[in-house]
Amino acid sequence: MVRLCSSDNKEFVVDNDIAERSILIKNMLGDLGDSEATIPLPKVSGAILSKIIEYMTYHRNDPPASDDDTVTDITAWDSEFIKLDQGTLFEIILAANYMDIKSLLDLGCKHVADMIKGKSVEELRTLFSIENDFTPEEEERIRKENSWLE
Amino acid sequence: MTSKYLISLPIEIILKIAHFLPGWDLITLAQTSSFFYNTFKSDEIWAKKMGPQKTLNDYIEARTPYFDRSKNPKGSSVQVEWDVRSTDEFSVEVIFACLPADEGRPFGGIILGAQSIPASSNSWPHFHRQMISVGPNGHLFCSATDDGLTNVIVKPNRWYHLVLSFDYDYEKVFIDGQLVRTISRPILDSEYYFYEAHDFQIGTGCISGTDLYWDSEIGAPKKPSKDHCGWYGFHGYIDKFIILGNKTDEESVILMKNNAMEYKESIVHLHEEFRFTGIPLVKTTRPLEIWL
Repeated sequence: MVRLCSSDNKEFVVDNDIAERSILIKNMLGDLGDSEATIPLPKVSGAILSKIIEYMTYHRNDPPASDDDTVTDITAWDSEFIKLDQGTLFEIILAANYMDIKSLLDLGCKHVADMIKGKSVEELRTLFSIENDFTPEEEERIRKENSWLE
Repeated sequence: MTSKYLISLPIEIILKIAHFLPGWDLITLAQTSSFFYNTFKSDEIWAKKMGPQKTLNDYIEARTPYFDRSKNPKGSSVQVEWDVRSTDEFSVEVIFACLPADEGRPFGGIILGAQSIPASSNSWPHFHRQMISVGPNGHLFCSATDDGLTNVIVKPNRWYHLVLSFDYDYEKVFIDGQLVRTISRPILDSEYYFYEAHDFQIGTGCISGTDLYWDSEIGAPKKPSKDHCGWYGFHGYIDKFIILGNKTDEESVILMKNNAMEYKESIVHLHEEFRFTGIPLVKTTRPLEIWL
């Protein structure tokens, strides 16, 4: 068993094979060589770590992720898991990146891409609270550049 | 570690999201703010979507031929000048995507067909073969020598890169760079290919007779209906079609798949030239992108 400690000092005890879905944890365990050690995860809150452990537990028997950029079909479980509010979704993506869990990072990024697909410029600005920092002249020029899209 | 906004995600994550987005959605996102506009101008992003040396402008200008069967079961087609008798080996490379079946339009169709008369003729082609086709349930058939059933089930709205490599030692079929079918010592059907079925075209073909796989345990029909006897036009996009006068090895197949192949000499090369064939051109994602 491995003890994981979140940024807000919440502790989670999980099986090694679950924890080692994270390459960061796997490498740290290899470096420490001490099965009783607590692994600090200062960039991940308890709430997010709990969600990530849920993901790693479900995928504990999956084969190791490949390095290429191919994407396998998203399962129904993954699809339900990643239906999160935007703030939590971004935190999960950041934590997956930090903890080096490729399949979860891909799942999160793919989900954000799906949220973007087919939306207009204005819809995207609203959905992601993106500030329009173009001058009216710049905006008109860019709109003309991309008029082929309409 | 919190990030409430898309814009505040690290650049490597923004680029990963961009990787999963079709180019036109990326261009829309680029118009939302100067950050995204400047980030997505990078040639590296567009080379990943289009192939080496390709740019955003190439993406913007790219169009794909649309083979439509809605008005006529024969569909639309492009005749190709190919004398298969002149070579002991050849390869066919195709990038295609099937559109979903809808009313009156079964899934798939014949991508490369050959008959004893041109497809433009109104007469019945007594000799006809299908070298590359997708059956109504998505089964891919590809062979110059037999029925060509592969274990590939083609899904709608997805690009496929196909290479058929033939010589007298092997006939091989590759899908997305993976070998999916091999026949040793293949024998071209001399009656059909060498003497009778000499008119080849992309986008349609004729099919008749008994469908070996309709009632079989495999259940991989090749015809749109059991009693079908006639044309089975392709319903979808064919982005690239090349015939080479030589076999293709595994290494070259990967280069082709990555749009990085330098073709020395081709017998038929319909890519950019598709625009001169009268087939409607439409905006689609590029074949190197993940989703259609």
